[in-house]
Amino acid sequence: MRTSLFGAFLVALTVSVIIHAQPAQKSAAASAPAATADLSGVWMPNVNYTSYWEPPPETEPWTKEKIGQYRENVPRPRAARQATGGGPRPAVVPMTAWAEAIFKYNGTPDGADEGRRNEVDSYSHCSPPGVPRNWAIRRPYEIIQEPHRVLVLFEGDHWVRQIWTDGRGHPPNVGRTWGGHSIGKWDGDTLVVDTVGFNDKSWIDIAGHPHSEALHLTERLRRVDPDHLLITITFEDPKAFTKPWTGSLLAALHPDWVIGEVIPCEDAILGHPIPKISGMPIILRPKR
Amino acid sequence: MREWLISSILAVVAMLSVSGAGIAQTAKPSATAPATNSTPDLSGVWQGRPANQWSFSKEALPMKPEAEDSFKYNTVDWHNPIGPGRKELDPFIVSCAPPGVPRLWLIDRPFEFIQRPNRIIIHYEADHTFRQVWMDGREHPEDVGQLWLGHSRGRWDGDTLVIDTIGFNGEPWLDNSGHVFSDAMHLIERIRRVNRNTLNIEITVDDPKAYSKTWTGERIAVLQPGRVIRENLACDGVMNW
Amino acid sequence: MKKMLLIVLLAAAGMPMAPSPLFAHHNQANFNRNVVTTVTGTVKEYHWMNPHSMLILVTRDEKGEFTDWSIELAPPNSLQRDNGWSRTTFKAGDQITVDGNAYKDGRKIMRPLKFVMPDGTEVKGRF
Repeated sequence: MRTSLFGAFLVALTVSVIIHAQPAQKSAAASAPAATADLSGVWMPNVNYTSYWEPPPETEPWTKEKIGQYRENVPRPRAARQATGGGPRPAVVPMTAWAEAIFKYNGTPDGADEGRRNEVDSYSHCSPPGVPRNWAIRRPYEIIQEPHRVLVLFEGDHWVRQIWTDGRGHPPNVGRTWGGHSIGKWDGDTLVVDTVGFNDKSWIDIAGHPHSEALHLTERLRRVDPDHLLITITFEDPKAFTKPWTGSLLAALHPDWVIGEVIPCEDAILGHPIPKISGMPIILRPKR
Repeated sequence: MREWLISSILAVVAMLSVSGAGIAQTAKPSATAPATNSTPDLSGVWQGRPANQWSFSKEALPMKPEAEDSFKYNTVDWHNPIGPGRKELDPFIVSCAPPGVPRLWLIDRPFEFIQRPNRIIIHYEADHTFRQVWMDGREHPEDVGQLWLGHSRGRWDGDTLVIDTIGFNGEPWLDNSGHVFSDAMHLIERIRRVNRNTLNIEITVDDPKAYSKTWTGERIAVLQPGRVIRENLACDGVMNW
Repeated sequence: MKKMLLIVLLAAAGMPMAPSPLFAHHNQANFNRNVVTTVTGTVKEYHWMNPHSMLILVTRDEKGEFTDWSIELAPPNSLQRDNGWSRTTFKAGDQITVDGNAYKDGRKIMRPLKFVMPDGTEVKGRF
């Protein structure tokens, strides 16, 4: 009798060990939580966003009309001031004096493309658009979800973002790069990305708002309907902005597209005179 | 009865060890979406060795006259006939041009194989480049065009990944020595994991405009456990057209 | 060193200069949005490249003189997706008409709003 009971106890123990082993495997892996949203696919904004929209109120439903509004470009400040009625508003960037001076230098006080000083935009000189500006450019990007990381392949500048979702933190010597170092976690249907480690060479948008190396981004990616991705970005940068502020943009799904090859500035690479680069003599493309 | 007890205990122990091993594997940060049981696993970060490999073949390449002229021009007066080509004529160095395929294998920066259901993405740290090797049987597009990286389709031949690429523009150097190729190149790359830490990459160049016959070359790569691909720009903010 | 200089000079002599001005990501503000200019002409060159593809048209101006117009187009992947165009869509000798916004400073460069293709169909301009 005792032996049978002990046997039964062992069976129960075995069964309970098996049951508990499963979730332990998942949480220890930390790489495939039970419910992650599916943001995978090729996405692209409808326009080259000049800057960002103020984020829409969370409680408002995403109607077709609302989607149409956020797919449009942010109006230039002068036009925005004159606009009446409801609908989305351009995000106001709370700049410090340092940032304001650079912004004025980068374009007209009105900012936003018209009058933008091409010669001071590093993107015009074949540098990467940087993060988060590359979300706002009308070139497709593909989100690929792996157990331990989310990859984003940007067609525009053949750029790869690696968003680590395996629980790692930022490295102590995170460096100063165009893309920073990104870690992410899933919050229900939203991917929340935390990025630090930027250089100060990129603009945050076409309008020419600058940022410093202190930039700390929190990006939230969420599908508001099957075909639309809302990207909401909180900017913290005590050197450039007087307080944290948030901007949004909307990208649309293109299920049949694949990311193609784009080599920026290939016109310059293929046939134009090559300028002096750090002491090298000016050499025209050698005739084959 | 005792035997039943003992076997039960052993079963529990066995169960725990299997689960434990599973946890340890999936917790590694370098783990990627696992290849299926039936396909070989090339996933991970690798780096070509040796660091200074100038070309794919130790033998003289069977160059056609025009390609030979270009090669001579790219290396004339250079003191080391089997070393790097003239840096001031290297489009990668001088114009920030993409290193291109197959030269990317010879650049001394790591690369990562990412195996997805319908393709293998090769992410090269050099010039933040990625190639997509389509594994779903699709054909090359009819109007494949002239690309820096070409259009790649791949299949498994046993334990070897065979990549078939066409649609090149012929602009980059073929290697670090200054050999060239044309837009007619049809490149086959055979990649095999010979052991846990070693990748063998064999390239076959079929380029009737530049070479009088098909030739093969090789590159070895070594696994870099725990390493991640970092940001790298060919010309960081130096371009000023 | 002298030999190298000689080679450079020879290369320079042999190298044809690019026929069109540099277009890498230049400012959209250069184009006059308020005026639509129409040019009709013959395709001389068609460049399928990043960041902007390009058409060079030979047209006749009011005085009857031949002159080149540069039409700045969208990048190849955008043209392919939006218009279904490819690197062989235009050939030298094709007759087309383009409505577009020209450079404010009078240079014969425009960004297109509408094309009338060789077969008469109208296509939206993409830049």
